[in-house]
Amino acid sequence: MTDLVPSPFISGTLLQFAWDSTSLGYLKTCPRLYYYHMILGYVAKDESVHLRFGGEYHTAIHDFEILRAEGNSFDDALRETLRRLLVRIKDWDPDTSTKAGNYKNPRTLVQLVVDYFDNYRNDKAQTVILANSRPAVELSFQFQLDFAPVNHPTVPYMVCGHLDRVVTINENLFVIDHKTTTTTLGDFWHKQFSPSNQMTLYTWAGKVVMEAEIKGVCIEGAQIGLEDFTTRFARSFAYRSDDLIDEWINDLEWNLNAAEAFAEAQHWPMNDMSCDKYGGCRFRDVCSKNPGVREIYLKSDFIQLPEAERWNPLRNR
Amino acid sequence: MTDEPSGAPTDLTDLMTILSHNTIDQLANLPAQDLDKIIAYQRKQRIQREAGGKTKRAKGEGPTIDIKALMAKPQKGPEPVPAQPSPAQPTAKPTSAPPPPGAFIRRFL
Repeated sequence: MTDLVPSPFISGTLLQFAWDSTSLGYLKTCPRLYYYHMILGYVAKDESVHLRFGGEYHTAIHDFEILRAEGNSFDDALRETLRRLLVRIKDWDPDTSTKAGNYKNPRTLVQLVVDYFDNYRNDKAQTVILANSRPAVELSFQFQLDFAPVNHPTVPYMVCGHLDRVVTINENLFVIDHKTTTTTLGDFWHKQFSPSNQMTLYTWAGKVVMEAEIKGVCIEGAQIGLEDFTTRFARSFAYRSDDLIDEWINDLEWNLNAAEAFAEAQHWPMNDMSCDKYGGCRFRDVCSKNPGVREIYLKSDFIQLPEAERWNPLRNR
Repeated sequence: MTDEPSGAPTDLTDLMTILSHNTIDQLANLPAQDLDKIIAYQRKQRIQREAGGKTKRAKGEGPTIDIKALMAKPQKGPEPVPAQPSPAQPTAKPTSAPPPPGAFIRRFL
């Protein structure tokens, strides 16, 4: 976490030039949320549990795919993936008395990983093998846009991120994105991906990285149950046409111009229509307080990460 | 792999014991047999859950709900309520932070 990574902000400013779907999502959801998280570096106290769990899950899938591409059998690949997982989580000891830790801990992680590979053992989705014989998993991307901030025209904006996996399904190419959730994988879950900032960006990025026709994103959802730990899996397909992607890129320019205006004014307005989304914004209690006392609540209820540990789209996985 | 090997872990404590009682090096060299025991245990647990343990426990504690049937249908929201006429609103006043100059101006390279 402390590796020297370039700042995503233009030096001496609060203007971000390197964007990923997470930071752009914050900006679009609520500029004040973006300010608290991306600029001030505040995170909820249980955020590290979610990040660790998700990160280990992704790494396990990554390990497994590489092992399979190297010719290992399913059982051997699963065994080795589990071995590496146990080594990584040896000292991970989340507080299981918290909601986050109760759902996401070493036990539920090991169960999820075994369940995942068993569930997709005879999968019709086949991981693409790249020209260098490596499987198309955890593909990092960074590319420059053809526009720049109004007042910094020599620093083009960049778009960055990581594609979990690229697969063929019935001869069509899809980006696969893994998501864990504690909510039901029902109609509401499926509908959230169209329109979706992340899925359009990932389809676009997939086309750029693979130089091929990507149909969209296949979201692999894993629902983690609480009592008698249960895992359920579902796939959702988010298709994106070139016209939809072009529209999204055009809107991106408007959104980034807005981000520049906020940064220049050093004012990130609150979008009070987003506070109840996704189970409620983590900063809702802070924003509901009088402006003069918000900092007190931020400092007591959140952790302010040092700059080197804050979310950075330029950091490699 | 469906048979439970002898000595398989029986609950959370066993997995945590494996993690806490072994060094990184020992974990990195854990015998395949031990890894198979962990995997077999997870699979056995899954089979037990899928056999309907939770369904049994819910009996007699409340109304029976067919979750699968509910999930197959789009859920209806609350019935619409006729809107009440709004009272007269005060005139809007400018806020203390005027929009910055130059905002939302597009520039193409």
